[in-house]
Amino acid sequence: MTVLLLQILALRILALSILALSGGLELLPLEQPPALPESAIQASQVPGVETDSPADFRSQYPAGVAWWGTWEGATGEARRSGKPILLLSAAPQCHGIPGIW
Amino acid sequence: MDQSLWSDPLVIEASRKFVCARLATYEDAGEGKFLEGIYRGRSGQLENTVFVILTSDGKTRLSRSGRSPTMVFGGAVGWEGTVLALEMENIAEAHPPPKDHKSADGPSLPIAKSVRLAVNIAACDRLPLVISSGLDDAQLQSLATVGWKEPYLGRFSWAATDEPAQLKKVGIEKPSAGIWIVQPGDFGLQVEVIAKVAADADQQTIARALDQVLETSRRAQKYTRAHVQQGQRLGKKWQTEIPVTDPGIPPQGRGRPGRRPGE
Repeated sequence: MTVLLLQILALRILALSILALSGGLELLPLEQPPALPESAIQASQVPGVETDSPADFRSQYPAGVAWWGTWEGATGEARRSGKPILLLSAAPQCHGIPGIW
Repeated sequence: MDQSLWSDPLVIEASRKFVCARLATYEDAGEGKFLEGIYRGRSGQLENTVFVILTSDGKTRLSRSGRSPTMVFGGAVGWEGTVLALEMENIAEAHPPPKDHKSADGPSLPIAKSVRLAVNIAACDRLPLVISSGLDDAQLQSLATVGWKEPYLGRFSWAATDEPAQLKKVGIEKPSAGIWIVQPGDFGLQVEVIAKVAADADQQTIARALDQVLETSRRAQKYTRAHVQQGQRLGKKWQTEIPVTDPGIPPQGRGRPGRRPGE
């Protein structure tokens, strides 16, 4: 079991190192605190107490992929930017019920 | 669609090197035909989800195609995001934008096909939606400039229309020209207006309104089974533009059980 855990850890470190070397990952300093669970963030938001910290709302709406919703729009942007296209399709309904992927 | 995969910070970081297109399956006949050409499952018909990476002209595949990134790139449970991010980084590095490729214009707004569809998609993503109504080209470009900045990038859905009737259909009682910031209902059929900004508002005013929405609204929690059951009880229905052809039975060895047909 311990060997398996060590192997998983080594693999994770290797993957992150490759990503860092390729410039795709900005390594955080070691002292960076881990993200708080949502329950802890909610608990810290006392009603009536205002805060200017952008981290508070970003915890509610974490960063996301900026999706183009149409093929026409996406190809227009790809022509403009020269970037490759990551194409995904998904159905915005489940059993005919909207509001869920 | 596995939303946890697309909210992985490594994937989001890598996504900035791509134009990320997420087409709504079964919501456009032309796009449906195009997607069928990209990937068809064993049923031989268009399935709920399709994934591929293409060159910037959209003509050459840079990855295999499949139902999902996990089907294309693999990745053990818990590692799918890391594997996808690594593959994306490798592809982006091998196919960067040409050095002489420069455009004077900024990106336009990444809008959905219609307001109706945008409301549904925003509900699926559990994001606020910005609807521009009756804006001229310069006003649209100004809105797009704000929309592509942090922290707004990827935190809002977008739609545009010149028809007030489209706003009325989703529950905006007195539609008029301007920038409507709305919260979609749980089932993505109606909206609640959170803020409205004048069509000719400057970028600072627009940004302030978007900030306020991010600060004051809260992202809903959704669980597929409970959502579907509640929708069926309440009689909420979505009419797709073209027939749903996904057989809804996962072929052996592809994907994981329990996510069909919405994935």
